[in-house]
Amino acid sequence: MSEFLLGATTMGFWVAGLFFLRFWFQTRDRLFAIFALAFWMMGVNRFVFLMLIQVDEANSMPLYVVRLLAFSLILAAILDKNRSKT
Amino acid sequence: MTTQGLSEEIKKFIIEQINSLEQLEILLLLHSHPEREWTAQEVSQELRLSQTSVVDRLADLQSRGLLTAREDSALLYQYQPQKPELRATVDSLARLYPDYRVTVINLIFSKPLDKIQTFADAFKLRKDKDNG
Amino acid sequence: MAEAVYILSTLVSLACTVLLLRGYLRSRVRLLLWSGLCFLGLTLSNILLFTDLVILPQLDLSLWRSLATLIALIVLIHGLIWDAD
Repeated sequence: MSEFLLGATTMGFWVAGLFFLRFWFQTRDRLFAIFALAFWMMGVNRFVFLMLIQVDEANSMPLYVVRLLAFSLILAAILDKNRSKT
Repeated sequence: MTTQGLSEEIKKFIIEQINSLEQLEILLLLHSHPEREWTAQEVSQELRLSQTSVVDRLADLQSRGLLTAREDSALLYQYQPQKPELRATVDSLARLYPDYRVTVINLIFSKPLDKIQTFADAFKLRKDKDNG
Repeated sequence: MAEAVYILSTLVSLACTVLLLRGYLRSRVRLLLWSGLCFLGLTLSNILLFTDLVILPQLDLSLWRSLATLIALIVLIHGLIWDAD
């Protein structure tokens, strides 16, 4: 069950990321490129959990660094959007 | 909703470049005095609009190639469309606007919202008043 | 360190939730509703994560976390497909 859920969420993040990528092509708004990247990273994060069954996910450095990066990217996108207002 | 009386060119211009009534009024004001350079304060006093939104509108019009900006003791704007076809369109619009005011206003407010851009705009912390 | 990361994640997803739902209330663009709800789900998932690992380590909330995330993503994808032009 947990593997199924991890697989499904990996797919979900991937697909959402694809949509954001498309929006970036359509609007050239940097925010979408950053969101696409962040969502893909979250997908990768889940995928890694899926692959490493025995690992203590919370306290494994590489695993939560990816999550940190993903959310930092989103934060950066928000700050960037507010910095360069004409 | 009928947009009779307005040329396709003017309609296209409004849909693509004008996103608020306030912005249109500012453009037409500067258009009616093309030799003059304006500060945001002067425009806001002339049209009795809040200066903060006037500042935004002027910058927006400038980025669309309708006005030029020059830094002197303050930021000065002047009506100077970058392309001759823009100039012709704004001239027609200015001529027709007094008679077709309601039609133009309807066109501005019934524009389909760009949903994707609205998503990105939601992340702006300061409120962007777009129906001024 | 891990705790700081999870708190940051929660705050960022909460910020996105608020900004998107506020945007929906202003513009009535449905895409913002769905994506706002998605981030609400992700925020919930992050809160559960923090709870799971820091506050109540004796429980295993991983199933609920994954469910929250999955439902959040389903809502988002629904919105992206139907309401993003």
